Amino acid sequence: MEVLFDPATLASGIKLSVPILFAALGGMFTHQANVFNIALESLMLTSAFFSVVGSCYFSSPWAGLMLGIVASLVAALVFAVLTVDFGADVIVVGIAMNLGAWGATSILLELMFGVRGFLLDPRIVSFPSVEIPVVKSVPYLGQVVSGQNVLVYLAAATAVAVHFVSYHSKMGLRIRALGQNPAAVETAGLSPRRYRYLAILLCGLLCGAAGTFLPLGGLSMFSENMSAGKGYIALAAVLFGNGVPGLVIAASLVFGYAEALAVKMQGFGLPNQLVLMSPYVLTMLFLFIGTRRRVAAG
Amino acid sequence: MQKEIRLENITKRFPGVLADDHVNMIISAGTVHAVVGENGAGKSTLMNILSGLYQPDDGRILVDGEQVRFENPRQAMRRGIGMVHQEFMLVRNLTVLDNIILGFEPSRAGMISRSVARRVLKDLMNAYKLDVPLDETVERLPVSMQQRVEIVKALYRGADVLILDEPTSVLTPQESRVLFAAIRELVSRGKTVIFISHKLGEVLEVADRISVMRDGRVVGELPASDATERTLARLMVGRDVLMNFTPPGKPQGDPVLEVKEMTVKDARGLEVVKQVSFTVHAGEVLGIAGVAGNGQSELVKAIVGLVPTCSGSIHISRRDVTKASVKHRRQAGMRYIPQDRAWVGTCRQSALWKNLLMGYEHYRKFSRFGLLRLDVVRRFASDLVARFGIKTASLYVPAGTLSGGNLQKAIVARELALGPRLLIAEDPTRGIDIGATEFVRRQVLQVAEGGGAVLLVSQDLQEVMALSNRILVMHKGQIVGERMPAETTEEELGLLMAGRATRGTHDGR
Repeated sequence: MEVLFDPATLASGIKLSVPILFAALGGMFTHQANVFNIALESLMLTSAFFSVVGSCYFSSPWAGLMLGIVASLVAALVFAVLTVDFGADVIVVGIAMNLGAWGATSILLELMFGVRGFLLDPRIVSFPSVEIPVVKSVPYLGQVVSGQNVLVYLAAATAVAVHFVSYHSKMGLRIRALGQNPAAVETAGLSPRRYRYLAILLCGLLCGAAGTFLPLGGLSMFSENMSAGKGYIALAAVLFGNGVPGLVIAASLVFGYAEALAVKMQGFGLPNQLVLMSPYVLTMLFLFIGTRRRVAAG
Repeated sequence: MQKEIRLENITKRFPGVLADDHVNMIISAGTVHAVVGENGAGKSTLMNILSGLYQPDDGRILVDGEQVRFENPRQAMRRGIGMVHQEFMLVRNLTVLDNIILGFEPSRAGMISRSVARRVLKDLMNAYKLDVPLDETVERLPVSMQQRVEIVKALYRGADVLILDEPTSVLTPQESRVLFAAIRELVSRGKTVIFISHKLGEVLEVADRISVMRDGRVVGELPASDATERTLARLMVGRDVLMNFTPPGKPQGDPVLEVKEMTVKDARGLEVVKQVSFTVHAGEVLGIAGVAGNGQSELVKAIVGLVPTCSGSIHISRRDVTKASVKHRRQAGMRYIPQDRAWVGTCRQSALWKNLLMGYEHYRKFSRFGLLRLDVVRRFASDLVARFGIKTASLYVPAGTLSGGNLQKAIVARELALGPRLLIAEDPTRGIDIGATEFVRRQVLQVAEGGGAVLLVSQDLQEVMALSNRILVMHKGQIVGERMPAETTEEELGLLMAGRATRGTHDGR
């Protein structure tokens, strides 16, 4: 039982929730704009690969983050052009991009680094972990919160920023209005196309950070299909939160915690498959609850 | 801030339709100018041009003598022209405040200053005596309040000329009265109001000047003081119309439809029809009046068999059909004219003759060994087209190509083809022109005269009053009153529809 509240479990839960959180916050903007975006997965994977490239060539995780974000933005732009301007089906484009990103990053891995499967290279520099001066000496809390990766703190700051953008900026209000009633936005003399693009690009930006965390959050390696379904779990958090930042954040944390718990539980003699399954079962449960709630709310 | 609008030779074509044909109109500043006409007369298109949503193919717009060209609504707004659309342009789960400022948010560095907005709006609401609850989400407001939000929104955006498109179609008579008072207040403060409607009584009540449109042209313009309902109707239709009907005499027939303590829940599990009981007799038209969204639509769906009932029973001709399928109910003699003729009443892609046959295809008369007897079917369909005066190029065109009025006639023709025992008519004349309305109403009455029972559910109070022997009023899922048309007034029914006591209350707001 004590494993549930073990500070190490919680700390690892927070860490594992970071990529989900970044991607889900991004997906929240597209959700608000009423764009059903399943391409989160491909944006993450694309950025994961290019952040490794950046980190490798410039020997700096920050360069990795920059390149990862740029790559994810480019992929998001492709998604936007195809769905907004050419009117392609979002699901079809999303599936194509998710499969395409897997293939493209695998090929690029071989072309650029001459390896297959995974890349372990001393030139890859991860973000460092940092201790928080006073907090670190607080018992329990210090163990959970302090000593995390820089990107973890960046994620926390981003979550707060996203809330403000969503509720207190002109752009945020317009994106939310767009998803509910595009005609209201249009009769206000605004361009629905512009705000659809902005939502998708914001999603690209945040998925860029999400993807960067995978190789540069401490692992310092890239492996094929590194996102491994995290984009879909993020999508589940988005749907559960239904456009409300607080709920999206909470769901992301729960999913990350479940993953950490699954890892810990492997040492307790439970069948491995059952344990590994649990985060996904939880995801489905959350989706079920989220949907029920939405139906009840009309 | 007073603005005079001149429309000169405005012409707008849509594929296959000349919506506006060299329209000229002068709208004087500080007046209420009504534009009346049947559906499809070109009123809404004209107003969408004036508000910048459409661009005219020809002609010009002058504001205070200066020629203007609006590429989008924002440009029209900048010249002080704002529109309150028939379908409100509100975002349901945002607050009233956010809805009003959307697109015109006072802000600093991209961040909205809601306190500034609140101050500006408080002043505006005081100045025009239009109060709206700024912090409530729009979906929690009654429709009349949502409309007021739309008006405040237009004023906030700097409208000097307000275009109201069919504003009373969603209001009770009392709420309309309140709206008219608000319009008067606006005009007294120098605003100009353009009032689009096809309800002639209210146009005469509120307007200073009236332009009448027909087939994309202005066929008459006159001061309201010189107009009567009769002259306006003649201008609109191009001939005299008879709008007064006498409902059939006292019903003495057997009960045909018996609804007992019926409760219906919606998808959310809320009771939208609560313990409703009534009976419709042979030879009787029972009208149900109510503001849209008070359970009438669910009531009808449950009786027709489109949604399950939660409790209670439904009998047609003493047969229990509570759990019966739509098909079985139709076999018991039920027919249905649905509110939504385009999606429920017809299959738009299918040929007209197929639409006329739907529901009868299994009759022995029309099919043999599972194959349609096309010659008989064709004769049946062309007979209906002739009998009901459906204007169509042929029997083989897709039903969706017919005009609204003709599509409605086709549905009426099909439903009345084989002499129904029970007719459920739901807003049977919504959105169709006066000529078709007159026809459909006459047909509905004939069903009752021929010994059938009619349940008429309509949002058009005048229609309910003109056709029914007896009127039930629904409010929040319950029957809140029963009246005889001869012994009641629109005002009394309106109060019932609003859920208020009928006597002793006088509420100006």
